[in-house]
Amino acid sequence: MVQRVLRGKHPSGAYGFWVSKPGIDVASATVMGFAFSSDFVPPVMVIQGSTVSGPTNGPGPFSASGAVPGAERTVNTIGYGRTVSPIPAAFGIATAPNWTLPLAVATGQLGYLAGRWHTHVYETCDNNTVIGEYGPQIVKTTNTQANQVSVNWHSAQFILVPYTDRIEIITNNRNTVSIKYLVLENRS
Amino acid sequence: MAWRAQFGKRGAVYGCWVSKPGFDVLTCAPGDFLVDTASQVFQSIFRGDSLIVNEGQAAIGAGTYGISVGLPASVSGLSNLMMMATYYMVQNNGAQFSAPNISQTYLSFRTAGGVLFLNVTFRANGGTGTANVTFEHRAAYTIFRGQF
Repeated sequence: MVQRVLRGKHPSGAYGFWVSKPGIDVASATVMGFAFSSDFVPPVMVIQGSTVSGPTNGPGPFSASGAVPGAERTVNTIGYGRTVSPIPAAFGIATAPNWTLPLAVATGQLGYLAGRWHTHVYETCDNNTVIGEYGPQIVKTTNTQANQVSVNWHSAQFILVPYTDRIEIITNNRNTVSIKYLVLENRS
Repeated sequence: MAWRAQFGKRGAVYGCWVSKPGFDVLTCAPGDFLVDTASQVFQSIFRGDSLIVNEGQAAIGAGTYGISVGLPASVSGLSNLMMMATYYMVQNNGAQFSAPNISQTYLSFRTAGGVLFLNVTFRANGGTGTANVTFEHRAAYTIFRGQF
C-alpha cells in the first residue's frame, strides 16, 4: 500500500502538507496526482449573495407610448468593497415567473424560460412570433437589417459582468428577476 | 460541541478533513466538509491576464484571433485542464468594458499539450474607426488541478 499523506518536509525539500490520490505515492506524485497540495491555493471567493432586479421603465416601442416596464435594461451594481486584480470571474443563476417582453400585447413570450433557473439569458422572441407593435415582419428567424428595433425592446436578458471592483447584473424583463451570484478571484 | 478537524485516519481512509461548523468530522456526510482530501480538492495551479488582440482604428476582418500561453512544467503535456476565464476590453484611455456585452465578439479557450489557447472571434468586421482609440481584448484566467 502506498503512502498517501505527507506532513512536514517533502523529499524535494519543501515543507507543507500533501495528500495523494488513491494508489499514488505522495512523495513522488506529480501535480495531477494530488488530492490536496499545500503548494496551491483553493478558489478564493470575492463575494457571494442573492438579489432581485425589477424592471426599469422606459418609452414603449408602440404608438400608445409612455412608461413601459422592461423597456430599458436594469443594471444592478454590487461592489466588492475592495479591488481585485486581475479581473475576477463571475457566475450566477437567475429565475423569473416569466420573461415577458416589454410590449403592450397581453400574450406572453419566451414561455420556455419561465420559472426555470438560467445561467445566461439573451433571447429574442419565439420563432415566428409576429409582434404587430413593431410591424408584421419582426420575428426572430427572419428579422434582418430592414426592421431593426432596440435590442432592449425585443429581448430578455440576464448577463453578469465582472469588473475589478464590482459586478454589474444586467437584466431585461418586464418582471422581477431573482438572482444568485458568486465571484471568484483569478489567482494561484 | 462537535469535533471538526481530523488528520490521519478517518474510517479506512488516510487524509485530512475539516467539517462545517456544527458537524462532527468523523460522521458527517461528504457535503458537510470544508476540506475533504478523500475527494479532489479544487485548487488553482496557474493564473494569468493576457492581451489577445489589440483592436485599433484600422478595420480588421471577421475571424478568429488568438494567442498561446505556455503552461508551467508541472502540467507540461497535459490537455483539457479545468479552467475559468473572464473576457474584457480596455480602452487606451484606461476605461474597462465588458467585451461580451458591447461588442460582436466572444472568447473561447482550452488547454492542449501543456499550452493554453485563448481566442477572440469577431463575428463581424472590427476596428474602432477612430484615430487614437484602441481596445485591448484581454482575458484573465485561472487553471485548476483537474481535467475533463
